[in-house]
Amino acid sequence: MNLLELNKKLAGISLISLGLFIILYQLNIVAVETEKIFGMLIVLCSSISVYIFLDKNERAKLALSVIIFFVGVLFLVESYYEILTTRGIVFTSILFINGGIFLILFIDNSKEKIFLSISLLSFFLSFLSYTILRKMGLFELANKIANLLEIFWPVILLVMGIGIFINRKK
Amino acid sequence: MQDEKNIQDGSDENLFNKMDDGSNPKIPVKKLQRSKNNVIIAGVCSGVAGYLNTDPANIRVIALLTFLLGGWFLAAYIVLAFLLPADNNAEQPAPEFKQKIKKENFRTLLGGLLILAGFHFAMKMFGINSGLKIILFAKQFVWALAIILLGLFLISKQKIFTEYNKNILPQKFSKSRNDKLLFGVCGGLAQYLGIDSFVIRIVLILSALLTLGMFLLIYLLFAIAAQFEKDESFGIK
Repeated sequence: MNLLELNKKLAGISLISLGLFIILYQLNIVAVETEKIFGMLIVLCSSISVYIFLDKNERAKLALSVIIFFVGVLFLVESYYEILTTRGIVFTSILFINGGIFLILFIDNSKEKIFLSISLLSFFLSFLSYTILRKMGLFELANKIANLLEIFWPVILLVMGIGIFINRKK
Repeated sequence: MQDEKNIQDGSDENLFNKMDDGSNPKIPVKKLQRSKNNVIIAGVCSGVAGYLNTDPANIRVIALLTFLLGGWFLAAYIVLAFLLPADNNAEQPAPEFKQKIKKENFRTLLGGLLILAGFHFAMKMFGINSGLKIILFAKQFVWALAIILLGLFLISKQKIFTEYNKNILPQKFSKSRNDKLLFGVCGGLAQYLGIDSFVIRIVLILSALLTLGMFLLIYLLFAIAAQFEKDESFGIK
């Protein structure tokens, strides 16, 4: 059995056990924080996936593995710390995850210096958003715009969906 | 006259012989069966579309929208997936055509899901209870079942990802000339990663919205720093 098959099996078993844990938790049989377990399993499986897909010309899967890894980290952070401004963490996380994706893509193909630049810029913006920009009232502004977006959210989704559906044959 | 005579004589055998001798073209009988060439899950929607002589994409989007009325479609789909026979006589399409179908199906599914989500949120905004609420009745329990199913799917020998031809992926990142809306950055990234450019564009738009346009700085850096792909038709290198 190769490493990819092993990782698939590991991911499958992890998901099944997680699902069973959630059901047992709902039935008050076990008292485990599912977010913590979920985060740990996701981080474990995605780390193996990154190792497998690195330098294998499987860039989309590599990028997806990095996204899943950071989602797992977010679950873990959320389970350990009480985060009050959820929208604030989304703002910073998107930029940080983007930085992570392009850093891995640069490691995968070190000739592409542009990926390193994009990665550094993303990390810098992420850091900036949580320090200086936050003090300047960025999160309040983000909240206001998010509230406005919430009103137009269905329209945005419908326009995008119809656009994709019409252009499906292009 | 001969036929009339046969009928009058009661000799039906001659009539059947005449029908089967190939002189009369056979009218194909429409059968409701699962498609084997145009499949996303089990080929039910495609089979129904074939029976109704319409585009499978329309049936798929209608099927997705029925989730707004409750989960009855899902139940009907599962029943039909087990009951309907597979269309084993269908000819295998060419690999290029298969790839085209896959791409179209992916976009149909993505577009359909976005339309479904849009309608769901619109209904929620106007205080109408969408059927999606019925499906997600006991959130945790349904999610647990979904996770278990996904786990079982992973353990089975099924292929989850589409296998792309690795040789298609370019060795170098460059902005796309053919798949371009503004600067060709999304098209170029899509080619480099081997995924649909629509996905990159949607991720970019959503990220730009959620980061108050800060993500556009990253896009602009790409647009300025990256080069366009070689245009071999004009000999530009």
